Order: sequence, then structure tokens, then C-alpha cells
Amino acid sequence: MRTGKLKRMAACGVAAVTALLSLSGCGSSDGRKKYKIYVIGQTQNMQFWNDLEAGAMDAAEELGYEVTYDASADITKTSEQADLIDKAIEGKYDAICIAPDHATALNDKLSDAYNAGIKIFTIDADVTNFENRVSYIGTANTSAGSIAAREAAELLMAAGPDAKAAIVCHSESASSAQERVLGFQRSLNGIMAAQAQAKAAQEAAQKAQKAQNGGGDEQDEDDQEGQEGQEGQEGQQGEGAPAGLDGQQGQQGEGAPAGQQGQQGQQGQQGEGAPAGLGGPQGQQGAGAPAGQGGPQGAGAPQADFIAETVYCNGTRIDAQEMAAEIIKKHPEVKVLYATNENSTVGVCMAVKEANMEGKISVIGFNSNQQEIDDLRAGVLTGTMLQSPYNMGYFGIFYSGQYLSDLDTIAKSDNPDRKPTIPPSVDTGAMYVTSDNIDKPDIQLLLNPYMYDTEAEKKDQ
Amino acid sequence: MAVNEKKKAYSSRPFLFAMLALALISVLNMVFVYYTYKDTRDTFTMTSAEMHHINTADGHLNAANAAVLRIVGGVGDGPTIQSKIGSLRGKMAEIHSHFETIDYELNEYEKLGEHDGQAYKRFQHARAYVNAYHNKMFEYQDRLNSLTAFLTEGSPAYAEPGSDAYVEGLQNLEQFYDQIPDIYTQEIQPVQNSAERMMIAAISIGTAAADRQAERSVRILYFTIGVMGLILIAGELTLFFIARYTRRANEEIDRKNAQFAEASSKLMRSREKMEDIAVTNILTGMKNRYALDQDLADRLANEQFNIAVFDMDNFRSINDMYGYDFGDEYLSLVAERLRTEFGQHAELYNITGNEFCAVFNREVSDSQALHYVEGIAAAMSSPYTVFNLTVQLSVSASTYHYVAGDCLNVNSLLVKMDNAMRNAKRQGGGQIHQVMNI
Repeated sequence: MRTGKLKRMAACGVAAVTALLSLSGCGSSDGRKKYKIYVIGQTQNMQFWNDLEAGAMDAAEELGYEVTYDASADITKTSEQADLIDKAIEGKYDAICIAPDHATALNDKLSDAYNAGIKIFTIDADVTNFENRVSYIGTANTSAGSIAAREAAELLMAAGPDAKAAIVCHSESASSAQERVLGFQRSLNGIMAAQAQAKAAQEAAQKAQKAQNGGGDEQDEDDQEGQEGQEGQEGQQGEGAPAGLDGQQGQQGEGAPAGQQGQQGQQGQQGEGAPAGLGGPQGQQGAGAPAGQGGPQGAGAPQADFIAETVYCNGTRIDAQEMAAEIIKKHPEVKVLYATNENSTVGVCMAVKEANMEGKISVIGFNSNQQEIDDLRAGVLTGTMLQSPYNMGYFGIFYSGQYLSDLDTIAKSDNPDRKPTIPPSVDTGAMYVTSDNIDKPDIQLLLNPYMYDTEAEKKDQ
Repeated sequence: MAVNEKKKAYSSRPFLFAMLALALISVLNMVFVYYTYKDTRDTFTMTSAEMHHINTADGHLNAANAAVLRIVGGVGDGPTIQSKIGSLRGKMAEIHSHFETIDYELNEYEKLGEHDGQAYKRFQHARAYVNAYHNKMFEYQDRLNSLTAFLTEGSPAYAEPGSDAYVEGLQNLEQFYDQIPDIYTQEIQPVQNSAERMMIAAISIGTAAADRQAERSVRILYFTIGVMGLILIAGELTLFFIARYTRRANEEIDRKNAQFAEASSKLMRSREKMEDIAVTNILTGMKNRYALDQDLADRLANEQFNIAVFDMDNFRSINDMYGYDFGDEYLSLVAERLRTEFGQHAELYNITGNEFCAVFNREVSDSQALHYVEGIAAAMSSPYTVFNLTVQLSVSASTYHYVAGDCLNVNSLLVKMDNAMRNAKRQGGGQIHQVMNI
């Protein structure tokens, strides 16, 4: 009897010890790997980088990665970011998300990191001539310029036949500034040229039609009307004005430089773009980026009629204000001023206010500091392109983590040579914000990415 | 025995306590495990509901996106701008219906109650982008409506076909239509991507949180089982040791009891021996005066019997002449002979050194008793050879036919008999005197 009890006790003891052992084993068997990702930012424009850091940290917390954020103190010294890359190599990080201070100066250092097995991602700004960058996550600046151009085109068309735009750009060297200008120039010229050409073609077609029909051919029934319309259009497309319509389509290719390449080339580019677009968003992005990159190489500086002047203020408000004032004086036909960053936007608005041209000259700017929002509500600033630094940080971590875990999955799979499918560039978007839509929740979220923070997070801040 | 019982009552208390403690811990454990289980089940129900709503919303977002892509690709568009616009309108309507479903599902998600903090935050971000996406669609629909107003009869912007306004309207429409791919890539796609990725993130955060919760529950469960096991082991061990201790204690008590019993029986025996010694004349081995006292005390009140006392005349002279050893030996020889010859008829006592007493048995009649008295006196007064020396002494005796109630105690009985004896000795000894009944 007593030995039976003893045996039972021993069995219980073994069971308990096993349970406790498996208990301690539980913590380490978490399926998700804790990747180490180093985020290297810049320091100018504090709010922007704070938001970016917040996005990165939110993603780190939500997805369970170990993320370190560091920023260079001085944007003009690329050596600071090089030191941070060294830190990442030393710390054996899995990936770097860097917002490079310079498009090429860090390439050697990034190659070192790449050779050390670190995956390289760029956020907010891209590197050039560095082939081992996995993906760029940030605003597609050419697209942002293009969006601004569409809005500018509307404003110009409304302002009158001779209205023109002028550009106040913040930097002659920064690639983001260049892309914003190029996207704007190309799209605006494209749209305006198409409009003009279409008008010309339309007039020609009307003349031809009038000549054929002898003028007074009026048909009362509705279906016939429709038919006629259709026929008319077919005529336009097929016979009447081939140059005009083809030109229009070509310029609609958009990412591709209008007017610089032959029309067939443009068509070809569009032909590539559309199927890629149908193939899925990733494909679309893949196709979009090279087109954007291809632009500056082939383009030079397309100065078309619809842009009166492009000036460079080198980032200071006062320069921007003075240059804008001069444009207003020199070019009375300028009805739209386009500024490419915060300081230049504020400077241009000051110039417009000074000249008492509020409402007569529209201003399209970039980003959103308090002064800009005040100007927007006061009607001086017509609209501003809002970027999403929070999403750059968030998706920087999101995509680099996805890439790393895809790599791990592939390494364990039957076909370990495959490459993970991550889009080579992710456009975090730019929103055109006006006083009409600024109070919508999605725009408010861009202005204040902390609005949905949990109570605990709000307390921390 | 009383001591032992008390000990047993004391030792059952820890057993009772251990039993109650085990029962209490078991019940607590069951309650705890039940709540852990319930918590886990609730979490899973919640998570699956959350995932259902977000996945459905995501599905419709994809469907809406597919419709947008069909717009961009011009799928199903006719050759004319009117047919293109018609197809665009149809797709727009489809997109709006998808967004209605998305809105419904996201509202349902929101109604579910307590969400994981992080997942809910990401959900709200995703929702903001979904709304931004939908707003964009509204924006373009508005633009489409204003651009197509000239086609609608009765609207203020209506233009006669063929008129300048009509052609210009067609032109603007065509231009808007051609901008669609750019609008998609530059404005819609980033918003759609953000919405979808953040929705996916919200799902995976929610799932991860549920997994963590489940893991925590399992860990709690294992911990509980572990603690329970340890408590069980500790309890069983305690019981085991208590049992062993109690058994040892009982054994000890038993041994002590046995020792005690042994000691006590030894004591009894030695007391009996002492008693024996007290009622026996050591020299002759016959019962002594105390024995007589004990034996007769109860019989005096209601019995009748014959009793005789014998005394050897001038026995002192023997002691004086030959010494005590000789006297002792002489007396023991006398006692031996009396026991042998008369032991079966009477109880014999050696009252003092040379004084003997016989209480005759009940079956011995009065006359027989007298006869035996004479026989005893004769036996005592016959010659004895002691240490090779023959000695002979005369014997005086007193006999008493005792009748119930004659004496209050043995002492007064003996006084009576001593008086008769004194009379016999006074008349020269060697005589038998009868105690007279009055």
C-alpha cells in the first residue's frame, strides 16, 4: 500500500517537472524572429523626422522587431551617416533603413554594409548608382510634382488663356527637389500642350466637318445624335487629327518626358505602363520607378511655354520671398506659384501677401508647418502637398521586416535561390490638401499621426 | 490505554488539515483553470470575429481595387468617349458598393468591443486610408459628373451636340479620361497600398496578440498544473511522513506499554511474594499469625468450626541449652511432620516460634477434631532426632469449638484460647484444655 503511494507520488513529481520544463521552453519557441533594423534619419525639420521615427517605432512594436533610430546631426556632413552605418555593421543588424543625406556619397559605406550581410532600404530620399538597395520607401517626388501640376493646370485653365506658372525650388542639387520640379514641369506642360493641341485639332475637325456637311445638318432624334457623336469622335481619332490625338496619348504617358522622345517611343512607354498596371500594384510600382528615373537623364530641363520661370532659393525663406516678389513683378501672367518645400512655400506666401495678390495668384506648396496651415486657412496658400513621414517610417520597417522574413522562408524552402518579391519602390503618397479637405480625418491623420495613439502611448509623450 | 487514545486523536489533526488544504487548493485550481480557459475561448471568438470582418473588408478593398484597375486599363470600354464614360460610371458604382460593404464590416469590427490596443490603433490608421481612398473616388466621381453635365439634357450646362460647348466638353472629358492612369499611379495607388498594408498589419497584430494571449493562457495552465503537482507532491510527502511518524510513535507507545505492563506484572509478582512472605513463617514454611487473622476474620460472624492451639512446654530451655539453630531445626521437623500427617484435615499455622494452630476443615466432625487434636499433641510430644540428638518435650493444647458470633475478632478468639492454654500449663503441662462455651 505504502509503496503504491510512493510510486504515485514519484509519477506526479515527474509530471510536474515535465510541465515546468515545457513551461520554461515556451518563451523561446515564439514563431516570429526578432529582426534588428537600424533606421538612420536626418535632423533638419524636426517634426518630419519625429513623425518618421514614431512610424518606425510603432511598426517595431507591432511587428515585434528590434529597431534603433539614429539621425545625423548635420546634413552637410555625410561622414556622420557613414559612422552610423558602421555602427549598424558593428551591431550586426539585419537591415538598414536610411534616409541618405547625399545621393551617392554613402555608396561605398553602404556597399560595406551590404557585404556584411545587411539589407539596405532607403526611406524619404534615395541613393543613385547603388544597385544593392532593396527598395525605396517614401514619397515618389516626381508623382508629387505631377499631382501638383494637375491642380496647377486646373487653376491655370480657370485663370485664362495666357496664364502661366512659376516655380520656386528649394535646392538645385537635392534629388527630391529636382524630381518635384521635373514632375511638375513635365505634367503641366503635357496637360497644357495637350489642351492646346486638342483645341487646335478640334477647330480643324470642326472646320472639316462644316466643310463636309455644308453647315446645317441638324438631327433631332437622340440616338442619331449619339451616333453622330460617336462617328465624329471616331473620325477624330482615326482620320481627322492623328497628330493631335497621338500626341495627347503620348504625353499622357507622363512619367516619360513629353516632347523629348519621339511619339512612338512615348506610346511604347505607355504601352508598357498599362499592362504592368493591370498586373498588380507591385508591378505598377516597378514600372513607374524606372520611368521616373529615366526622366532626368533624357530630359535636361524641359522649359515649355507654360512655366514662366524656375528659380532656386537654396532653402531660405527670405530668398524665396524675394525671388517670388521679383517673379510677381516681372511676370504679370504668372497666376500659379509652385514652391517645393516648407521654407520656400512660406516665403512665396509672404511675397504674395506683400503684393496683395491673395486670391489672384494661387500658391501650391509642400509640407505643412503651422505657418503654412495658417496661410492655407487664410486663403493665401491654395493647396499644399502633404507627405507622410509616419508612413515612411512605418512601411520602411514593414517592408524590410517582410523582406527579411521572406528571405528566411525562402532559405528554408525547396527553392532557396528565389528572390523575395518586394516592390523596388513604395510610394507612401502625397496628398493635395486644400482648405476644403484639411479637416477630413485622413488629412488630419497625416498632420497628426498620433491621433489614434492608445491612452498609454499618449501618456508617454 | 487512555494515554494512547489521546495521542491518536492528536495525530489525526494534520491529516484532516492536509485533506482540507488539498481540497481547497484543488477547487481554487479548478476555478482558475476554468477562467483561463474561458478567457482564451473569448479571445479566440473575438479574434476570429475581428479577422472575419477585416478579411471581408480587405476582400472588398481588393475587389474595389480590381475595378479601379479595370478603369485604368480601360477594360470593357467601348470605342467612343460616351461608352467609355458609361463603363467608367458602372465601375464607379461597383466601387462604391464595395466601399459600402467595407464600411459596414469596419463598423461591425468597431462594435466588437475591447480590441487589442495596438491592433485597434492600426485599424484606425487603415480606416483613415480606406476613407481617403473612398473620398478620392467621390472626388473623381464629382469631377466626372461635372464634366459630363453637358451631355445631360435639362442640366444648366447642357450643350447641343455639335455646338462649340459640346465639342469642348467632349475634349475636357477625353482629357480627364486620359489622365486616369496617372491619377491612379500617383494619387490612388499610394492610398490604396497604405490602406491595404495597414489592414493586413491590423490583422496580423490582432492575431499575434491573440497568439500571445493564448500562449499566456497555456503558460498559466502549465504553471497551475506544475504548482498543483508540486502541492500534490508536497501534500503526499507530508502525509507520508506524518503517517510514518505516527506509526513510529505508535510503535514506541506500544513498546513503552509493553515495558510498562512487564514492569507492572513484575511489581505484582514481587508484591505477591511480599504478601506470601508476610503471611508465612519463614522458618517452618507454615502460614503465620497474619494468615490466620486473614483466613478467620470473615468466618467469625457466621460459621462454626473447630480450632486448636498447641504449645511445646519449656521450649525455651531447648534454645537456651542447644542454641537457636538447634531449636529452629527442631521446630521445622515438627512442622514437617504435622504438615505430612494432618495437612489434609486442617489448615495449619505456626503462630509464634513454638506455638502451632490448627483450624479443622468443615468435613471434620467435632469428635474427630478432638481425636486429631490428641494425635497432633502426641505427634508433637514424640521424640525427634535433631543433629543426632534425640529430644522430647511435652505439649499443652487448647481446643475451641467455635460457634458463630462467639468472638468479634481473631484476637479475642486467641485470647480465649491462650487463657485455656495458660490453665493447662498451670496444671503442669502436657494436657488438653477445652475452651468453654458460655
